Amino acid sequence: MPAILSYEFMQNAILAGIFASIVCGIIGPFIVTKRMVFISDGLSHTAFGGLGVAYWLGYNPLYGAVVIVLIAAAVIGAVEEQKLYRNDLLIGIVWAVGMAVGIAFIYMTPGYAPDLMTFLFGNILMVPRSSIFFFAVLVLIVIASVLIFYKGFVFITLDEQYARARQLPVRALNIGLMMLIALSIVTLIQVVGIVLVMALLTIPFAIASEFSDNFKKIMFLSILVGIAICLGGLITSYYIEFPSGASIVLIGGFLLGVVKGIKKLRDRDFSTA
Amino acid sequence: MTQKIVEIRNVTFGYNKHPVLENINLDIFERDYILIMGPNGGGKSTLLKLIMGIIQPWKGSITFGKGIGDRLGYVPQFSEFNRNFPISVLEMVLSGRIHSGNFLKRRTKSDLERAQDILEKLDLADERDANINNLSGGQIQRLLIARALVADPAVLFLDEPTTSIDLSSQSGLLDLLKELNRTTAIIVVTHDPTPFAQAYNHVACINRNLHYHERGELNAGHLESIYGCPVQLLGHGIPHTFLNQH
Repeated sequence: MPAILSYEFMQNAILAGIFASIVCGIIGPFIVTKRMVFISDGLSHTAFGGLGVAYWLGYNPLYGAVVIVLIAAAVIGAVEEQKLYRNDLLIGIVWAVGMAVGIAFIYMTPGYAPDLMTFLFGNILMVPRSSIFFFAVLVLIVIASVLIFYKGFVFITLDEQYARARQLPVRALNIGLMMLIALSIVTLIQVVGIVLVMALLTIPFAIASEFSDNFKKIMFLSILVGIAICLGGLITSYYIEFPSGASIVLIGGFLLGVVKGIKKLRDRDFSTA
Repeated sequence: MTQKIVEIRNVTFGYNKHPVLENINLDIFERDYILIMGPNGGGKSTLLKLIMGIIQPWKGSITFGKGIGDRLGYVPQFSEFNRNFPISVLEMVLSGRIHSGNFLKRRTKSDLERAQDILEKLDLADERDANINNLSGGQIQRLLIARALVADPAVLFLDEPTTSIDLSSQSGLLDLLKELNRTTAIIVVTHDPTPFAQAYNHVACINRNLHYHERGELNAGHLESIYGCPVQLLGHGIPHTFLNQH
């Protein structure tokens, strides 16, 4: 075993990267195809409010994030679907107020708050072992829920009106999916930070969908791509002492550019041949 | 005697407090072929969504004959499903088998067999594994019909089925609907009744209110009152004749 793997912080980082990639690969494709990117980004910023409150109360900030994000997800999911997609206004407000609550509570907590910078920009090299167990539980919940409700989630993503016409519990499924997005976001916050969460929910899907147009295959490929990006970023960050969240996202962006570029060149060859 | 399968009584519905449909009454019988026509924004598509249970009426009732409520086939307009979603023709048709009672269960062998049959019947068997985004307008129309038929509907509602397809696909569609009409009631929402002139047996004109006409009794005066302006009226039979220049 290489020496680098013998550090506990490195083992934790690798596990966190794998867990994050799994939830991204499973939930990311739903977020992108259902056009919920903005809502999801709003949710992740709302999490900052929960982090701040929990920090002020002296609890693990992650627990605070889970509670507030689940509440926000339930509220947004319960709003009628028509209003939800047009209601950029509501999302924008929830987003900003969540951030402001977080800042306010951090300000009110005596002393310097170094951990909270970690939550904003992520640090995969500083994930404590206790969080790893917590993430494992979240990941299991996400996997089990998607396995059970897969047909329903696909149906409401593909054609919500038709799902209604077939008398599926569309509202409950929407709320459920929002809750799973919320849990995924909490898992990702530690890895890439609130500000960069959307990168891991979108880039692996974007790369994977260049290789397949089958939803299940895209999910599976997204997980693999996510793991490659996370571990690549982690190693880069360790060796050149660069912020890990930014490393992961930049490697992902670079990889996407390469894949798209190669594809474009190949298509051009075909068209001129 | 033919059985009544859908009964709509005094249905009123609107968006943002503005009524779109007022006191709608309509009976649909087995093997009916009804055209629902009227101007854009007149509430035609809204009526279908009310019948399908996608939206709920402000007041009034929509009731179904015994066992019919689970056997409603719906072919929405093109724009209403998520073209963003990567899915094959077969999977899309199979999604038509999903309902409230089986969405937590695995698909069965009979789901798959039924989907295969329908794909062959609608001439989509060769496209079975193709991504839906690679289909032509006519093929997507047939795919949406296939998704509805795979659930063995007793009545098929189609929303503007001729809008996004070319003329040759259109004649194929009309033949298909005529054949289906031997066992299934067909309700077509359209702003352009011309293609259906040969086949329908009733017309419902909707512009906030609904006026029901037997085949043949419709005249230019009726249409003028619905559209609020003189309208070209189609004659029946071939060649089609157009009366009253606009």
